[in-house]
Amino acid sequence: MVEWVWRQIGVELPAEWECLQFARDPEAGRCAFADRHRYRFELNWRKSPGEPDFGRMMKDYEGSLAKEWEGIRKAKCRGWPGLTGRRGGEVVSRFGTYLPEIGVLVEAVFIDAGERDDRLEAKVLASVRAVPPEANGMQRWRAFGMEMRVPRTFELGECVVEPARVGMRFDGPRSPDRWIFRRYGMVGTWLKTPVREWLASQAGELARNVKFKPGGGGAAQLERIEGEWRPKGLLLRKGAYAAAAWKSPEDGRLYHAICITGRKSRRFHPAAADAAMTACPEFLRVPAEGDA
Amino acid sequence: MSRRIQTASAPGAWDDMLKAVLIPNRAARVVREEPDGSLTLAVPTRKPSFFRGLINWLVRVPQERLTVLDPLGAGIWKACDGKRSVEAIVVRFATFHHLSFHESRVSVTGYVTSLLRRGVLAVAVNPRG
Repeated sequence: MVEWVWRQIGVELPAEWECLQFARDPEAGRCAFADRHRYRFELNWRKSPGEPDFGRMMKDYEGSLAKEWEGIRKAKCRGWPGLTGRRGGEVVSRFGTYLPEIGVLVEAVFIDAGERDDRLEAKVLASVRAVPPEANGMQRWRAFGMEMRVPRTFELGECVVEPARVGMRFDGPRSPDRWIFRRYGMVGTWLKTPVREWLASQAGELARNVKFKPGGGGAAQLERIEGEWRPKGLLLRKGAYAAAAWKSPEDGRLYHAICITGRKSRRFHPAAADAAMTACPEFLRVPAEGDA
Repeated sequence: MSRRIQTASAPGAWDDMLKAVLIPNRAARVVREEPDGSLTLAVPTRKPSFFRGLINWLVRVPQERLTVLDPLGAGIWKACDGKRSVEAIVVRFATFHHLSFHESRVSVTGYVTSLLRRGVLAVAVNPRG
């Protein structure tokens, strides 16, 4: 099972289920996961000021689904009320719950090709939980092979998912604050320079006075750079630029983390790293004020 | 929530394609093979019907069209032996490049589509009926 944390909702899913659809909207959205042959799971969310009347909701739901489902009946799993029925050659089961910690109504949809897999449903539903910001004010995300912690005020501004290339950008409430996380695959086919050189080439012309910093070495060969962020334009705020890149010895992927922040709001990335980034115990550190 | 009853089902959206078998164009020939693994293929072209008479005399249509495959594409093309299914090729590509199944699927099918357009490959869907 692999953990997935998206928009403060955490769930553990079979490793072979991959996310093929996602939404960035914090108010309402969906992540859909598929195995090799079909969609298997869908996680829907919607902000709600309070817990809805599930009895009434299920009744309405049953009425609307009766047109497309056969043998529709009520089901309950791990305390989640739901409905199950047959749609064509597949069994679809929908369960709903309310996560009061984050004020979100969550719906989990399972799609099975043959028969309903009750045990897997129970296992997955038991793992669905709210992931509120941590005590240090950082919000945890875990998606597309990356584990990220960003300040809780940051919003997911962009998410690009392509084969062997994933990028997620989190925007802070004030410009130019943004944290970017990228993960690249098939590194051997395109990375023809050392990671150090590649990292410097990615800084772009808006990052000035870029200097290499001690990266820590290790098996991942972590490389770090820091510099000034000077956007073109008189009224645009300047700031600090810091980035790190490393090749994970575990999956062979290249990870790239960028932090662009205003001078007055410098923050440190937490040193605690997750399993996916154990190669880089302190993968990104923005210098504090006065830190030369 | 009741507004969101459309499940992302699309069963078989890519399933039929995974079962398909890719057959190399027998008329295609390898013109050049580079040490890095890239390949140059020549595929005979068919002269359009309007290229006759005077136009044929004025405009010379090349008899073959060249397609250059990078090392990755050459690997995919070589794997298309008329026996392996697309799924087997996808799994092979994923294993070799340490990709997930769907990363590999999107890469392979994207490349295969371009090869199909260029007439280098043909596709047999569900060849065993």
